[in-house]
Parts: sequence; structure tokens; C-alpha cells
Amino acid sequence: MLHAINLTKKYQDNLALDNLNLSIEPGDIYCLLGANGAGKSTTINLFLNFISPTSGKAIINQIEVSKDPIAIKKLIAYIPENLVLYNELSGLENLEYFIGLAGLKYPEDELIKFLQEAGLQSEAFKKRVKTYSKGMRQKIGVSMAIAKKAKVLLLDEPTSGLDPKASNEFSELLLRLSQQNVATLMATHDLFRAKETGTDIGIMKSGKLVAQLSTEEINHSDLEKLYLNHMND
Amino acid sequence: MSRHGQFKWMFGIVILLSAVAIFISHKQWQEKSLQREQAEEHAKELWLAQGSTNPHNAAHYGTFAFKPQFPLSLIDPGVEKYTGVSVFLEAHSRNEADNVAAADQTGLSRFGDLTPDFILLFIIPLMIIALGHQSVTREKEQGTIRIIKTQGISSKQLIWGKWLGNFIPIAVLTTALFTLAAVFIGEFNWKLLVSMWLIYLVYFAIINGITLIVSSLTSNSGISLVTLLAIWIGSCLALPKVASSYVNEKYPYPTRQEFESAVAEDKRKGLDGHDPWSEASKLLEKETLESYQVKKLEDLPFNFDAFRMQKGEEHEAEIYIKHNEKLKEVHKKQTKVYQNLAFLSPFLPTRFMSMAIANTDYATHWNFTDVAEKHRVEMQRILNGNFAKNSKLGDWNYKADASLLSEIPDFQFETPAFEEVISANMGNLMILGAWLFVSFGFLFLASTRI
Amino acid sequence: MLNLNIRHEIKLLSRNYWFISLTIVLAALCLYSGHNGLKHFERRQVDQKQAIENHQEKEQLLQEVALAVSKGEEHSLSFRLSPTNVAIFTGQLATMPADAISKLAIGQSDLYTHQMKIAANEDLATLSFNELNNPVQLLFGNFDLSFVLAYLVPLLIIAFTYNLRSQELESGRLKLLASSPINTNLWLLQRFIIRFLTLAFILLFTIVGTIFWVGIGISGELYVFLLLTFSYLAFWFAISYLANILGYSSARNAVSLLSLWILLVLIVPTIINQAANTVYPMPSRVTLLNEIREIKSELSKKQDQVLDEYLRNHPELIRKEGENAFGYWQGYFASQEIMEETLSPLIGKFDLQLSKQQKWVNSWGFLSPTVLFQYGATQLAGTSSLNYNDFKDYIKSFSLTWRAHFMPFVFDNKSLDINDIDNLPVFEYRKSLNFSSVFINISVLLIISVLLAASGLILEGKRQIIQLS
Repeated sequence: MLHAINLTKKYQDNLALDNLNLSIEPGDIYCLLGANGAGKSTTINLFLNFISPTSGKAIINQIEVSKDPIAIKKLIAYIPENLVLYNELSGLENLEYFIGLAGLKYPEDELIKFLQEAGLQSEAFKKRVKTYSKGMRQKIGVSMAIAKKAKVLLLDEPTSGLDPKASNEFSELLLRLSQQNVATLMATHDLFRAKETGTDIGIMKSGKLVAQLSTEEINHSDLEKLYLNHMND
Repeated sequence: MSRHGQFKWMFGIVILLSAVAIFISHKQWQEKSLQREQAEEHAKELWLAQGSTNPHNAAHYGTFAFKPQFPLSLIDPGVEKYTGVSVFLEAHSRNEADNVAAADQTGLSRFGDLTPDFILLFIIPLMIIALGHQSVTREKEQGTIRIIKTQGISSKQLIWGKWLGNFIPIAVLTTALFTLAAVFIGEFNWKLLVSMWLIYLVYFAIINGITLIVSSLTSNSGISLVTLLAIWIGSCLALPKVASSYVNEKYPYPTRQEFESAVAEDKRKGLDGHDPWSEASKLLEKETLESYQVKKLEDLPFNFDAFRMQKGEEHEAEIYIKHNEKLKEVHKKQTKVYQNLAFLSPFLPTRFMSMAIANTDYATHWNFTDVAEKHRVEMQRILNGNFAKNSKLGDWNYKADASLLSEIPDFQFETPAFEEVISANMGNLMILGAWLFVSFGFLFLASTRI
Repeated sequence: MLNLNIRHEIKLLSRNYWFISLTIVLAALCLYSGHNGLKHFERRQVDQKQAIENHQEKEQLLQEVALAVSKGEEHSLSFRLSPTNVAIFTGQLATMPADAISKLAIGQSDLYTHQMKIAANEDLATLSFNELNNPVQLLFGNFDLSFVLAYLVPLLIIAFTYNLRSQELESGRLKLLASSPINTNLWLLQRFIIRFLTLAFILLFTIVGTIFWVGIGISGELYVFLLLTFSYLAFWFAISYLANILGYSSARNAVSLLSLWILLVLIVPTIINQAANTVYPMPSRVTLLNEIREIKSELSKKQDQVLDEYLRNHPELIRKEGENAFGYWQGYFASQEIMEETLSPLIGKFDLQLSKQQKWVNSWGFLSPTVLFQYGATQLAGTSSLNYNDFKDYIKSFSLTWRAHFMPFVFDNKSLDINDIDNLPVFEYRKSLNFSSVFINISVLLIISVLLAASGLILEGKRQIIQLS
């Protein structure tokens, strides 16, 4: 579903991403681990066509991202670290607007169902977003992915700054989506969450993917050791 | 672009604009000055070329009074564009100054001219705002203000430091601009130039103060900039126009047509020097005969026709004075409104002070027309006196010697002394001072709130 | 997307104080400036009415005298019927009536006079068209609707739109938007167009309110005025749109848009004006004065010769009894006409230079949308310098007609009778409406706006969506 082929991004003399090769299939939750500036966000931004690659290809559903960004954006849902919505609108209205931009239109009761599915408490639906907590806003992001029936989920550190309970809820939502065959690429710092939620893990350093493994192959403490090893070289 | 780069650009543009403005103004100033000199000479030649002529004919032929061009008008042409530059001096009527430059230009002239005063009054304040609006907000946004405070520097020191740091480059620029202008002008009164320079420095100090006050009281640079620009537009663009419209509605001038017909009406009622049959003439005749104790006009020791003309002239001059006084009353009321509004905008007192010092304000123009009128009356007195003394009643063919024409003195218009200009503009000066004082006061208060 | 954006934008605007504050500010500005325009107009009307009444009184007196004389009665004022007296002392009144639409743009109407007595003894060369005024008022200008629209509304537009994209960028919301299958620049353009229409709607509402309040009838000019206004607004929206796309931050957008405002509204017009005066300098009026006097005195010295020459050109005026019967007035009128002929090349220089300046300004005026707007608005209002030049031309040609009308009377030494009094030439000024130049201005504004918008769209995908920290 999601493929990076020799994906490279250079800023002047700074190699932000170096020859990344990656492949994520439907149902996979691929977690990118790494320090700040390792190239995690660059990877996600390349898949979103926010930046264009210096060389190599980012491919989603057999379409090269930079060739037809509009087509691939119909397939993906994106949740950044800090999901900013229109504060003056309610959660429901935000959902309606953003999936409207994707060309979708649902009656209100359907929209409410999506919000419920994303786990947002029903009192909040019609309250303005400026009263929302971060976790609540992330849930709107998830409801957008659900409403959009996204095939691909791109997550850029979605759980950072969430309290453990909210973070846990978020993981459960991801698992539910992966059961519906959504391919997920998530950049994160959270080793524990990555091991719990992810199906695959990639460790990045200075723009390079230095290790790639399946979460089933490794336990928590080994993952941590491996990660720190890579960080310390 | 770095802050530094932005400054360089801004300074570069303003210096370029100033240089162009001074250069063009100087060129135009020289041209106009030359034209006026030539016209003055030519007018005098024509006047003298009449040769031996009847004095009253000469009075009708008339001549011109030209308003000289003052050196500092190169920096601030003030209202010159809208006032005439020459007055036709003739028998029986006081003419308005004519040849208004704005009437000979396209409608674009109402947008203003690229002259040094435009840069001083409008552009440099904008520059101060551009440089200073973020001087305090930036520290707040970046959090450096705490670091500075922990260094043992008080907010007061910080603010005054910023004030000076912002003001010095502007003061240098202003000084450079005035120096350049002084080089171009060549001959001028140092006192005037220096006081004009000081007025502008005070104006910039006030604006600098306001800029820092706003920067200290607002939380971010955007709000600070928008607020300051709103203040600038309000005080430099909108308020003067509001004042104009208000004054026009409240204390309007009569139209030229009204003014002239009111004068004509008064003239009709009184003594007409050319009309021996009017009641006023008859009365004058009677009185004159009585005071000289003769029976017939022919027995008078002078030409009564000329005497009557002189009396008529004097009477008409009074009518003109009366109507012009009325006009001045309106003008005074208008000026009062402008002055009251000056409390709302430091632009207004600066504008008026600058024009006054450059001798390009409305008061100077009034002064000029008054002096021209005095000259006209004196001219009539000499001509009629000669006529009366050297001819007999009914002797309209009398021709005076050509030397009579050179007895008429040259028209001289001296500008008021420096002290007079200052004392006449005390009101504006005080308001400007008050602005400076208040801006410093508020800046002091604002410094306690960061 | 458009429908969605319209609903979205209306929701956002209505939950902000923008709608309300913008409406209040605009309404206050429009109404106040409308009030000023109205007062100016009213005074113009009153003054003109006064002048017309005064003149009518004179004419009435003339008619009374003529009637009495026609009945064979003696009248103490019968000398008033002499052609010189009618031509010079009664004269004719030339007026430039105010259009109701001039309440919107005072323009040059505070500088020039609108009523003038035409008298046969006036030299066309020295006619003064200036109104008596405090020059300080002329210097500062008026707070009329065209000022509000030309100077202040662009600033409101800047405040209303400078951060439409940059705010999304700075908040990070642009990432979410850009992850949707949309063309973000088109999305932005839609928001701009919606805001433009919103402002246009509010403005239409307040202008129509103002127009209703100050009493301006619906006319073609008014529609064109509104069209011009909206085209001018469109320019500012378009430039702000492009600035948003090119800009990196709200603060920088604000600074660059405001600099542009200063440049286009304040500096460029003054530079064009200064350049026009420098490239095509006006000859000196004071020099002209002396030249006129020289010609006059020469002519007066050879009065007889002048008369002869004049009569050679106008044989119809020669009286049968013989040429020598002509006196002072005949000579006077004859020399007047010859003087006008001699002077016309001198005066022509001024007109030529002014028209060259005008041409210069017209071609360079395209550098500043404000000049385009102001020129169009004052032309529609009948208060542009072009209108006053027309008025001057009318007066000049009427003066000649007026003088020529009396020539046969002067040379026949014939007083006017009641019939002649009723058939005096009448002055009529017609505002010439040069819609085409206004439409050119409108098209230029619209074309520039479209080009700006299009260049914004071309930049799709080329501007950053994420903030580089």
C-alpha cells in the first residue's frame, strides 16, 4: 500500500532523508522511532507531498505521490502531533468541513456516529473546539479518518503530550482501524506505545533507516536496548 | 530578511526619496525664482515705459506686486501651491492674488508633491513606526525581556535606551536631510533653518515616544504595528481632512462671487471717485468748499476731480479693508478649529509651525496681500496728489512728467522677523511642547508596566 | 468546495466580531464622509442659487427698462440698454450646476469656482477660475467618500485578509488542509473571493444607505461608480491574496502589504505628479501677465489702425454713413478681439502643456490603482480637473459668442430693445461623460486583479505548507 523507494530529501547540504526503502501493507501499523531530526517527519511529509523528494519515490496505492497528490490525498488521513482545528466551530462542524473538503457529505446523524466511533463524549459534539483538550482534538482527527474511509493513516507523533489514558484510547482506535485493513505509518518517540500498538518498527537515525523489525520478534526491554544502542553510536 | 537588512533598505529608500525631492524642489525653486525676478523687472520696465502720461491713466494701467520666494520654501512649500503669487495693483480695486499653481496642474496635484516636507511629515514618521513598533514587543515575544531584567537593568533604563536607539538614526537622517537642503538653498537665515530642524526633531521625538508606548503596552508586534499605523493614518491623513471638512461646514468662506458683489454693493453706496453726481460726491463738494472757504470748485487751489478721486480711493480702500477683515474673522475662527484639533494630532502643530517658519503659511500670504494693498493705496495717493496739485478742474488731458512714474517706490515685502513668527505661533509651539511632555510622561508610565 | 467554503466562511465571520465591527466602522466612515459631501454640495447649491438670483434681478431690471422704453416712456436707467452696458455691466452668468453624485467625490470642486460673470471686457487670458478658499483646506483636502474608499478601505481589506493563509500556516492547520484532496491555493482564492463578496456586500449596503441618506438619484454614473469601487476593492483583495501565498508569516504579510499601500497610495501618485510637472513644466503665468500688458499697450497706441484692420475682417459691421463715425467703444471692442487673437498662441501654450501633463498622468497613472480609482470617481462625480477644463472651455467659447453678439449693436450704435433683451445668448454647461476612460480604469483594475489571482493559482504546490523551524 505504502512504499518508499530510495526516497531521499536534501536541504542544501543537509541530508534529511537518505535512501529510504520502506513498505507497509494494509493492516500494518508501522512505527518510525528516532530522535528529533532523524527524518521521521520528513518521511511523513514526503508521503503527504508537503515537500517533494530530491530523488526516489513515495508511492501510495501504486500512485507516485508527487505525480498525483490530489488522488492520493483522497486515500489518506493525516493526524499531526498537534491537530489544530477551527476554534470557533464545534467538533461536529469541524468534521463536516474537513471531510467536506474531501468531497464527502453526510447527514448529521452519520457524522455523530463517526464521532462516537472515535470515542468523543457526546456532550462535546456541539461545543466549540477551543474548549477541547488535546486528546479530544486528536479524536476528531480519527473521526475524520473514519468518515473519509481512509486506506492510509499518516500519524506524526500523535500521542505526544497526551495523558496515558488518552494515549491508550488512541492506541485502541488505531488497532480498530488496522483491523479494517488500514495501512498506518506513525512517527513516534514512544517506544512502549510502538511496541504495544505497532506491527512493525523502524528505527531512524540521521535520515537513515538503521533497523527494521516486527514487534512480534522483540520484547520491550530488547527494543529499548536496541534503540539506545543505535542512538549512542 | 534580517532586521538589519530591512533597516538598510528603508534608510536607502528614504535617503533616495529625500535626495530626489530636494533636487527637484531646488530646480523648480530656481526656475520660479528666476521667472519672478524677470517678471518683476519687466513689469517695472513696462510701468516706466508709459512715459509722460495722465496720472490717473497710469493708475489704471497699474502694475504688479510679486510675492518673493523664500529660501525655506524649498523644504516646505506649504500652501504656496494654493495661493496666488502676484497681485495686480490698479486704481479703484483691490485684486486678489492670482496665478494659483494648483489650478494649472492635473487633479493628481491634490495627492501632494514629492517635496522634502512630504518626506518629513509623512514618510519619516512611518519609518519610525516601522523601526520601533517591535522594539519592546519583540523582547516580550522572545522572552529576552526577562533575561535583560535579570541583568539588573530596570525597565526605565530599557525603555529610554530603546527610545534613544530608535531616535538617533532618525535624528541623523533628519540632520543629513537639512544639511543637504541647506547646501542647495545657499543663502538663508540660520535661525529659521535651525528652528525648523528642531521642530521636526520634536515631532519625531513625539512619534518615537508614541511608538514605544504602544510597543510597551501591546503584547505582540502585529497588534503594535496595526495600532501605530491606525494612529498615523488618523493623525496625519484623516484628522487634517476631517478638520478641513468640519471647518468648511462650520465657518465657510463666501464665494468669490459673493465677496465681490458685497464689495460692489458697498462701493455703490459710497463715494465713487468718477461719479460727480452721487450724493456722497455732492457732500464732499460742499464740505471741501466750506473748509477752503471758496464758492466754486474752480477756485480751489487744486483739481477737485483728482481730489475726489483720491477721496473715493480712500473710501474704497476702507471698504476693502472692512470686507477683508470679515474674511480674516472667518479665517481666525477656522484657525482656532485647527488649533483645537492639534491636541488630537501632533501632525497639525508641526505642519503649521513648519509652514510658518518657511514663510509659506496662510498668514504670510495674508500679510503679503495686505502689504500689496498698502502699496496700492500709497501709489494712488502719489498719483492723485500729483494730478490734484498740477492740474485744474476738468483738465483730464493733463499729462504728468515721466519722472512721476519713478516716484512710485518699488514694492517691498519683508518677511516678519524670526521672533514675530515664533510669537505668532506660540499656540502651536505650546501644543507641540505639550505633546512632547505628555508622550514622555506616558512613556515613563508605560515603562513601569512591562 | 465553493458551497462548503461559503458556509464555512460565513460561520467563521459571524462568530467573530468581524462582521459587526467592519459594518460599524464602514457605516460610520461612509455616513460621515457622505455628510461632508452633502454639506459641500448644499453650499455649492446655495451659492449658485444666490448668484443666479442676483443675476436674474439684474435681467429683470433690464427688462423693465426695456419695456418702459418700448412704450415710449422716459426711464432714468435707459442708459443700461446700451450694448456696452449690457455686454459689460449686466453681463451673463455662467454656472456649472452640481450633480447630486458630486456628494460622493468633492474632487476639485473646492478649488474652482462654479459661477462666473461673463463680461465683454474680461480678457480670456487672465480669467481666474479659482474659488475663494482657505488654502490650508485645499492643502489638507476633504474627508469625502472617495477618500474613505481610496485610502481607508484598502487598509480595512488588508486588516481583513493579511493572515488568511499565514494564520493557517502558523497554527499548523494548513497541514491538515493540505492533506485533503484540494488545491490549497484555489481553496484560499475561494476564501478571498467570499471575503471580497462579503465586504462588497457590506459596502454596497452602507454606500446605498449613505446615498439614500444624502439623496442621490439612481443613475448610470452611480452604477459605474459602484463598479469602479468594487474593481478597486478587488485589486486590494487580489494583492493581499498573492502576498498571502508568497509570504511566510502574518507579521511579514502585514508589513509588506502596508508598505505596498504606502507606495501605491501615497508615494507613486506624488512621484507621477512631480514628474509631470518636471517633464512638462508650465510656462510662467507671471511672464504671461507682462506679455499681455505689452500687447495691450501696443494696441491702444495704434487704436485707429486696429479699428481699420478689424473692419477689414468684418465688413458687415461698416456703417453705410462712413467709417469715421466710430468712437472709443468700437475701437475698444475691435482691439479686444485682435488681442484675443494675438494672445491665443501664448495661452495655447498653457493648455497644451496641461494636456501633455494630463496625458503623462493618464499613462503613468496605471502604476497606482488609487489614481485610477480617484480619477474615475471624480470624473463620474463631475468634479475632476477634466470637468473643470471643460467648464473653462465653455466659458471661453461663450465669452467670444457673448462679445460677438454685441458687435452689430456696438457698431450700429443701437441700444437693445425688449426683443433683443429676450434673445441674449444663454450659457449652458453640459457635463461631458467620458465613460470610456472610466471603463478603461475599471478594466485595468480588474485585469490586474485577475492576473494577480492567476499567478497565485500557478504557484500551487510551490509554496511551503509546513513551517520550517
